[in-house]
Amino acid sequence: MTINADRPFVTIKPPPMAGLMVQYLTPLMAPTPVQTRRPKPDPTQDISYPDGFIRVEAGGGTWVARDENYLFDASAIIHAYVDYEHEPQGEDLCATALAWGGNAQGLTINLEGTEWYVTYTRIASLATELVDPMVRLTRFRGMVTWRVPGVPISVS
Amino acid sequence: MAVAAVPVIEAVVGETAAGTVAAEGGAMAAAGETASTSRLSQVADLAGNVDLGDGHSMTISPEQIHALLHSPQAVAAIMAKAEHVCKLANDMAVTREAEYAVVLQNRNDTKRARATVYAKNFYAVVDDAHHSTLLKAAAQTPSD
Repeated sequence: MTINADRPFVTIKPPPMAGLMVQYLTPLMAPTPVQTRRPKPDPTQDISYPDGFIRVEAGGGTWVARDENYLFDASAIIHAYVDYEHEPQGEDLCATALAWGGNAQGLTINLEGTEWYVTYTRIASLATELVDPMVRLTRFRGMVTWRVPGVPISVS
Repeated sequence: MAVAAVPVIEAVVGETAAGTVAAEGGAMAAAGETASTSRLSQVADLAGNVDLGDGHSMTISPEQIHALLHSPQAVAAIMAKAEHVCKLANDMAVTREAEYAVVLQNRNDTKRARATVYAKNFYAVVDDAHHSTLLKAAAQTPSD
């Protein structure tokens, strides 16, 4: 289908939370890797991730009421994995990532050339221990929600 | 959602500003703004006295706040929100036969009514552990 008429409104892109959170957390959580895939521990080793492993997953979200398609409340689920018998480390790792995630207010994050301004942040869910059926590691899970203006990607 | 005005605010002490606060308080009760009323109760002392500043104060009724937070209208609003989250969770569940449900707590010995969305069967337990379905459903529910 071809549309020849110009769009009367600007096209607004909502924030890509997983990418933003990886970009934001990676330097803060080093040397712990921050990635979007699940960890793959070596089944022959007791210790596969001495510094733990953080997985970020886009949690979805919605526009902010009364500011439709301009401000978005977007969430990122943070999974902190550690080897068995290291539960306190895992809880601390998850809490630390949530703490940084909950204090991004006022920052601008550059992701692949696009600048995203974070207007408001909150920790929406604290670290909760819950086994991941797919991974032979201990997991703690929490969620951070950011309020971010959408970015115009087109004017016609 | 219309709610009959209840005497949440028992007394207001002060001059011009007090009239405004009393009117706002009445409007809150009439509109069923339980969240606002709840926040109001958090700034009150144990006797229900709220210092408004500049010599103004008012007294709120803990009994009426309790009644408001357990009123059928408040319960209906809570259940509507929880059922929306539950529907989202059931819609996005990946695991076959996973079922999420809502349970209401409205006991009289608690401060307010609460609704909880939970994994109703083991398929849903696995589904949530695998896909974080409940967190995602909550994230997609707009704030009021």
